[in-house]
Amino acid sequence: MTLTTEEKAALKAPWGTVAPLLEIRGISKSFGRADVLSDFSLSVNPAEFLTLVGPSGCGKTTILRLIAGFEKPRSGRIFLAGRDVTDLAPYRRDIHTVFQSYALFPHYDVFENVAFSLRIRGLEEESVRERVAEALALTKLAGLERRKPDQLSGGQMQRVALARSLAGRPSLLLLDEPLGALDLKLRREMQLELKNIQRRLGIAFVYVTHDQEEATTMSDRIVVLNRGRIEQLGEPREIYEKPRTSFVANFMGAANVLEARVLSSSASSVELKIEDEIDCAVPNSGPASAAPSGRVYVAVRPERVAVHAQRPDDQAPGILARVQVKEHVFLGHSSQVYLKLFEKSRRPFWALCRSAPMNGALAPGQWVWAQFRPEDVLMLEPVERT
Amino acid sequence: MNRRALGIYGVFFYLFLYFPLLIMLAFSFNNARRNVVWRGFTFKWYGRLFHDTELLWALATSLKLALAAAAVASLLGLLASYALARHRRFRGRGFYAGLFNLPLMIPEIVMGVGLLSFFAKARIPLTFWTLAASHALIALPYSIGTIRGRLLLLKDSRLEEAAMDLGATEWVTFLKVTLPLAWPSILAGALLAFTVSFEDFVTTFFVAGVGVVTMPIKIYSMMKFGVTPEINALAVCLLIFAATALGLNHLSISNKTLDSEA
Repeated sequence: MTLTTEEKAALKAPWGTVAPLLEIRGISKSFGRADVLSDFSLSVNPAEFLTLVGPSGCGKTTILRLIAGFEKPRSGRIFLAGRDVTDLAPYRRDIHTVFQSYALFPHYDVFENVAFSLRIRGLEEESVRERVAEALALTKLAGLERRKPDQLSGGQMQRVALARSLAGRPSLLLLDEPLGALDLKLRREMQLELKNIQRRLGIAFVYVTHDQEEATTMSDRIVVLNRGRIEQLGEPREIYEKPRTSFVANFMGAANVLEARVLSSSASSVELKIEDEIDCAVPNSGPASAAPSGRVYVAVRPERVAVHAQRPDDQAPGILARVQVKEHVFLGHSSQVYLKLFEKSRRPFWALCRSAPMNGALAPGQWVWAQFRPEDVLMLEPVERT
Repeated sequence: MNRRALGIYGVFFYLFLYFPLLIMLAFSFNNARRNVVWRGFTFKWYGRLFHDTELLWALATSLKLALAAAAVASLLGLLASYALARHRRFRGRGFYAGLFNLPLMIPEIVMGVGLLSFFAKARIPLTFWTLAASHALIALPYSIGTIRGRLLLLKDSRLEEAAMDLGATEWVTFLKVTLPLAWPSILAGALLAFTVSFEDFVTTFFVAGVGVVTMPIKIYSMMKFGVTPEINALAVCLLIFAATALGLNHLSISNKTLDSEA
């Protein structure tokens, strides 16, 4: 089943216009005395690729296990296609899981692993063969039917786990860091393939990872989690370009977080004094004007900071500061330049430069010019946990 | 120097372990009534052994007994292990786990006396089946010990969760995943239980009914008339049997891991 562009567009329509496939309403869960989730809510749209991303211990795996039915919430309900499934056993839910450890049955070969859910449902031998072949073709495993799991490579096992979950054609697929055990190159390859498969089948994926790049690559929407709470929910671009908190700014890509004071604000722009040194006017994106103390935090992406040996003399210099180089790390395709933004600033500030044409100028102790545009100053919510 | 010392230590270690068995093996072929002086090679004790109907009868009793005890211990052991492994956090789990191991700690003589007075008080006549039940009891910790370890490993591997996730009910999961993967451990536990029952003397001595003569009891009664080479021959046969069982056991659990990535 493939979706037409109109159908896809309908799914991309503002949230709430499509009846959600999965709805989590006010779930609380604790293990012993530790509250992992409290009053957690989330909706997943049909055919959507939703990624839960966050550091370990943020509750993302627990959410997945609650959806699958391996854990029971202390309170709250879970709805799948409008039906309350909170008290249903895992085998009564139209949801399959790809486990981090793959959990392939070692006593079955690839074919029987993939056929597992079909045989349980009592499908005819003919259609079992057909659907296994389909799932194996989809995951590029044709020809490996008679291999046992211990005769497969890590990447192949990962594909078998995926094929096994897809063969049953669930309405929702859960993936718990499925690429965590693969090397970087294979992981990149699989990311694209997973996204491709998801798009072609039109099955909703709920994907768990701690890798922000993975989340950005594949997702329609990303849920950034921290300590069991949603820090931000949105499309990858939105989360990258408009992080709401310093946690999101730091977790989804790198960020230089700086302190600033609001001098004045209008509907369109905010006058800021950054680190008591730089005056600038940045576009008003909302949160800062809510700060009562006038003290806010802003973030600047390292890749948006340019470093110049001489004072640049272009028309719109943006925000320009004379800074001292602390360290210069050459990465091949780019280089990281660590800077001392001001004499008294304690926060690290660094720039990611595509190229380093002025190698000599970036030696530690050298004075250079750092430049960034006001649009690249991201206003964060005043709530700050340091 | 160090290596040599270790080598010498090793030789003495194995001599200490197996020299008595070697003596026994040698004297089973000794052409003499007494176990003192070597008088030449013979197979006659083996011949006599295989024509001793009383002894063969005791062997048959012991085998039947051990089979029954192993079967009962394995079944109960599987059920108990499943409960202990599957439900990690039920109330009193540690207490029950300890309780299952208790027969290992209790001196067997206490078990024997206890069982005997129980059967007497309950007016249960001592038969082959009371003995089988008693043997199953002392063998149970061994079967639980082996099966439980495997089931815990199975639980950590998430295979049972995966099966349920794919639509298998608890019962189907048990049949299609748990049982086939736990099978080697069940077999290993059964072999241990079999051995425990087969060689048991103390408990048997107390609870064996009239006319139920097991191999160890028979050997003990033969010993009253002195250690004959026939007993040596019997012991060698049992040794071969035990070695075979050990080999089988080793084969059945030969480091098969559950993780598919291993």
